[in-house]
Amino acid sequence: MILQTLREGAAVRPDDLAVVVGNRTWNWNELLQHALKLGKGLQKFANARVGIGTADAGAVIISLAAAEAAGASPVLLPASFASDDSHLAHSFPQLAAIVHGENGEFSIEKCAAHGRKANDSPTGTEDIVLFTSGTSGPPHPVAHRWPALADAVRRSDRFRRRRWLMAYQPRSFAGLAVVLQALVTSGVLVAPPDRTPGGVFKGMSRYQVEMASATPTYFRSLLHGVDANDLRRLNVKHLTLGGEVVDQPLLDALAEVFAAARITHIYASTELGVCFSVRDGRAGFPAAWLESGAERCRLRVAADGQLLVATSRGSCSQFNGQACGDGDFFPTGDLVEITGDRVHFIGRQSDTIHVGGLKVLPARVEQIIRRVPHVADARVYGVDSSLTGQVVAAAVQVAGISDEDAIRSSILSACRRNLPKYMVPATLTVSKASLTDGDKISRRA
Amino acid sequence: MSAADHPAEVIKETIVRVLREGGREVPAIADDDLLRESLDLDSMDLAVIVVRLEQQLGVDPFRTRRTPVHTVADLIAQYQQSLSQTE
Repeated sequence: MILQTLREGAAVRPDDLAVVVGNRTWNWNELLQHALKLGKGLQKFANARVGIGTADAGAVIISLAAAEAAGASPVLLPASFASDDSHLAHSFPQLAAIVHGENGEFSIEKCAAHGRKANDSPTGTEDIVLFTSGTSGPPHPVAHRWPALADAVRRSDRFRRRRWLMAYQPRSFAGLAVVLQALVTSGVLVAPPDRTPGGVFKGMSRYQVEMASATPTYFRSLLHGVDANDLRRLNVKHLTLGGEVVDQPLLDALAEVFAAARITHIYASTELGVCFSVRDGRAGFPAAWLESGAERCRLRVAADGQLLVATSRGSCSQFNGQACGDGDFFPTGDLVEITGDRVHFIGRQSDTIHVGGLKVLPARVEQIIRRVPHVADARVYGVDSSLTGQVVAAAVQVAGISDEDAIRSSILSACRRNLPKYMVPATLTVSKASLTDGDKISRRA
Repeated sequence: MSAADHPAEVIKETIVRVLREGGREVPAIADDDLLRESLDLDSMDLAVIVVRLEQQLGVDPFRTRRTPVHTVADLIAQYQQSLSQTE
C-alpha cells in the first residue's frame, strides 16, 4: 500500500517535497530509497510482526513501507511504549523486532520473543495493528486492513497535491489517516517543529499548509495562542476536526478566522474506522441519519443515550477484543442527545461524573467554562467525595489575564448562572491544561 | 506554618468562601453556628467544603467516620481529631 505509493511518487516526481518534519525534509525518492534499504534489514522478519518505535512522521512512513517490502506485519506502537512495558507485553507479546528511526538514522532492535504472526493474530487477518489512544483507559491493539483504510482517503481534485498539516501523532489512527491521505493524493505532509501554537503556526506558514486535520483541543490552542490576523493570512482551504466533541462556538470561531476554508468534522475511532463526516458547519449530525444511515455506517441510539454504530465496509475488524462482523451494531461509548433535527454528542459515557446519584457530563460544563472571556480551554473531571461519591472538578487554561482570583470568580459565576448546583465545579485550578498524545484533553486525574 | 496547623481558621475561611460563591454574605462564623440551619449549607455545599478542605489540610474525616456534625465546632473537632491521628 504505502510502498507502492512511494514507488509511484519516486517515479513521477522524485525530487518533489513529500514530508517535512520540523526542519528536516524528505523528497519522494529519499523516502523510497530509505524504505528499500531498511526493508532489506527487515527481511529476516518476514511474516512476523515488527513494531514501529519512532514518532517521526517521515520515519514512520519509511518503516511502514520497509515492513511491506520485507513482508512483515507492522505494529504502530503507542507513544507511551517502552520495550519493558509490561501491560503491552502482556496484551500484545508477539513482536519480533522494533524499528527505531530518529534524524534519518534507522536501527532494528530484535525482540526476545521472535513470534510469528501466523494464526496468533487477535483477529485472524491483519495488515497493520494500531493502538487506541488511551484517553479513557489503557491503549489496546486493533487490527486493520489496508483496503478499508484506503477507502477513507478523499480523492477528488480538491484534495490532490495539497499540503497537509500533520497535527496528530503519526502512529495514531487519525495520524495514519492523514499520512495515507497525503501520500495517496501526492501531497506534502508538514509536521511542525514543535507542538506549541507558535510552532504549529510557523510550520503552517512556512510550508503554506492548505489542509489541517486536528482535534478541537488542538484548534482551540491555535485560536488562543496565535494572533487572529496571523491566522487569517494562512491560505487554509480545508479544516477537519475529530477525536473529541465538536461544539458550535468552536466551529463558528474557526469559520470566522478561516473564512475561505471548508470546515468538516469527522466521526471515527481506532476500532470502527471512519464512520461519517459532517460538512454543514453545525455541531452534531442530522437526526435523519438515524433512519437513512450515514456514509460508511448505520446509526442507532440505545435506550441509555449511547450511539450505536454498524460499519458496512469492513472497516472494523475488532472491537474491545471481540471480532466485529459487518452489520452488527456496536456500542461506541459516546452519549448523544436529540434536539429537533439534530443529534448532538454530549460526552463519553466513561467520563460521566456521579454526584450524589446525579450524572454530570464533563463536556456540558466545559462548554460553559469555555465561553468565559480569557479561557483558552477547560477540562472537567470527577474527584472522589466522601459525602456525594464524586464532585465536579475543573482545570482551566487561561490566556491574556494575570488576575487569577478574577478569572476564578467569573468562571464560577458563569457556571452558577448556567448550570444546576451539583454541576458547578467544587474545585477549580487555573493552570496550563496538558494534552495527551492524541491531543485530546486528558481526563485521567 | 502550614494550613494543617490552624484548621479552625482554614475551615471557617472555606465556609465563608463557599457561601460567598453562592451569593451569600455572612458577617462572621461563630463556633456554635448550625451548619444547616443557621448557615444554610446544604449537602452539596458540605461536599464542596470537605473536598476543598482535604486539598488544604490533607485529611477527610468523613472517609472513615460518620459522626453527626451539627455545628461549626463539631466540624472543626472532626478535623482536629483526624489531624492528630495522622501526626
